Parts: sequence; structure tokens; C-alpha cells
Amino acid sequence: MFRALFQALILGGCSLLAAAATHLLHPRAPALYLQKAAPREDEATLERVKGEWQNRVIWLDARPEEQFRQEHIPGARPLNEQQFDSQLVELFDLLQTAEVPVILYCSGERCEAARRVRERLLQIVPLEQCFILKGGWPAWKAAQP
Amino acid sequence: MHRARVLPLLFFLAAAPPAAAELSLGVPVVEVRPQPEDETIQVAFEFTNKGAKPVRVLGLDSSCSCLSADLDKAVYQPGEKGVGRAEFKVSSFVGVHEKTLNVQTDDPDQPEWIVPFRLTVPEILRIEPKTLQWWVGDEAREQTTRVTVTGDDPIRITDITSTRENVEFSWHEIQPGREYEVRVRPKSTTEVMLGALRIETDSRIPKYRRQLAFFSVYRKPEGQP
Repeated sequence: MFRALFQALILGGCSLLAAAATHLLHPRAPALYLQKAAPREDEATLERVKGEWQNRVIWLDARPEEQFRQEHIPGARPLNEQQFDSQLVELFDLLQTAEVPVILYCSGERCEAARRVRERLLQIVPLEQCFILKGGWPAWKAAQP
Repeated sequence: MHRARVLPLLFFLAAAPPAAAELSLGVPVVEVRPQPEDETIQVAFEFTNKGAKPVRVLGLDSSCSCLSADLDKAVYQPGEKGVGRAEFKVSSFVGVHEKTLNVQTDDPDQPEWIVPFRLTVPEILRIEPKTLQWWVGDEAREQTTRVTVTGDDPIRITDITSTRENVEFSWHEIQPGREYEVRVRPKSTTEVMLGALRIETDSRIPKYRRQLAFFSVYRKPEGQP
């Protein structure tokens, strides 16, 4: 019994030593804690949307149309790369009178679609407040009760 | 097994350096060259596990909703070749677009393998500038945009209509089937106006039968000269 326990302790100790050595020596060892990256200049967090703007924003969904049809942020309108021109025309009445920030979102943190759509949108409509939702659709989804 | 034999073996296993693994493409970038009329295009790409241990693919993620892909297997042994298949929705893309496929693996040295693609869609019709812009309060002077047919086949403009009434426009054929000039002037610049000209053509390719050129009268942003 004690012998088995001793062996288990030895095994556990070996694993810990190996893990510590790997962490110390690995050139790309991850941090031992997670830190939230600060939003980029063109990004807005969900907290900002809720707090500073009290949810009074125009949501634009840069994901593919089938994903938009499946589910989207309530009130959001589609504006994706593939159908940019035709979808933008449908938004003109809304954007013409917009006095609230415009927030674009796409499928995830690494998705660049919203950024490219934002660039194209600003070339045509020089909105003063136009941001990308940090974390995209998953961030919004995760914040729902 | 005797402890004296087990412990050195355990130490050896724990301290042994991990064998390197690496999925690698045979080319620097996967070139994708659709025809102007293509709505979608499929492309296959080959790769090799150049490492010394098996690599398991955990997932695929793409930088663009236009790109979907899959690989022929889940685990690649050292030296094994694999084939991936990617499909692009070309839709309204024109010109050169760089996209990536991110492959997540179980290899701590290569947790993510990035497969770069270069999508080159031939341009057959160019509208330059695409947007004509006036600031609120500006003089409502006339501006011009040019429609140039850059493809092999001629394309003729058959009609142009505007989404807004507060704009005057006219169009002229400079070279039949090749070059057109469209002149636009807002009737007034006292209020914000966003609109588009619908340019109808006789192109044999459906997606080129209607093109849009935009115009806007908008508030000048702060700091704009």
C-alpha cells in the first residue's frame, strides 16, 4: 500500500519536474495567467456598447448571409464582403440619418471580414463613429443569459 | 517491474526532448485563379508532415467567410503527404485578395499551421472613382466617374438610373463597348444624401449586368481639410 503510494508520488513528482522544465525551456511557453488584450483603436467592447452608448447603436453583421439568417444580434442588418454593394444601398436610409455609433461584427476574434467591410464603408460614408465589436459574434453570444 | 528499472525509464521519458513535427506546403502560397464568370472555385493543395512525429489536425478556421476547406485525413504520420481541398465563393470579389486557412494541430511546436491563399479574380469592368463625394455646404459642382471595360469582350452600358431624385446625371459613350463617362451633380448639398447609380450593361456574365457607383453628400468629419 505504502509502496504504491510512494511510487505514485514519485510519478507525480517526475511529471511536475518535466512540466516545469518544459515551461522554463520552451521558447514559446504560454503565460501562466490570462490577460485580456486591450481593444484596438477601431474596436469597441460589448461593455462600451452597453455602458457608454446604452445599446443605442446600429449593428451591422459582416458574416455570410446564411449565418445572418440563422441568427443575429436583434436589429442588426447584413453588410458582408460578398454582397457589399447591394446590401449597402439598402442601408442608405438608415445611415443617412444615423446619429449613433455603427458597430460591425463578424464570426470571431480572428475574423478580418468586419475590418475590411468597415474600410469599404468608410470610403463611401465617412461615419465619425464606426467600430468593430471586440470578440465578434461569439462575444455577444457569450454575454447572453 | 522492479522500481530500480522503472524509475530510470520514467526519468528518460520525462526528460526526452519532444520530436519536432511540421506540416508544410510545397509552395509559398496557394494560387487561386477563377474566371470572371465563376461564382465559386475549388482548389486542391498538397502538403507534407516534415517532422519526426505524427500530427493530429484538431480544427480548421478561415480568415474569410468566402473560404471553406477540409483535409483528407485527421492524422499525418512523419513524411506523409496530405491533400486539402478549398472552395472559394468568388461572388463580387475582383482583383487580388490574400486569405488564410488556419489549421489547429496537437503539436505544441506548431499549434497553428497557416495556409496562405492568393485569390486573383480578373477585372473586366472598372468604375473609377467608385464613389463621388461632396461635403454638406459645398458648391454642388459636377463630378465625373469613368466606366472602363478591361476584359476581352466589349460591354455596353444600356441604362443608368439613380436611387435618389436629388441628383442630376448624364452618360456618354467615349469608345463603344469600352469606355464611358458618367457626369453627376447633386441638385443641392444642404442635406446629407447617400445614393447610388445603377449601371445596367449587356454583359454575358450575370453579375456584371448591374454595377453600382456611389455618391454621397455628407457631413465633413472633424479634422478633414
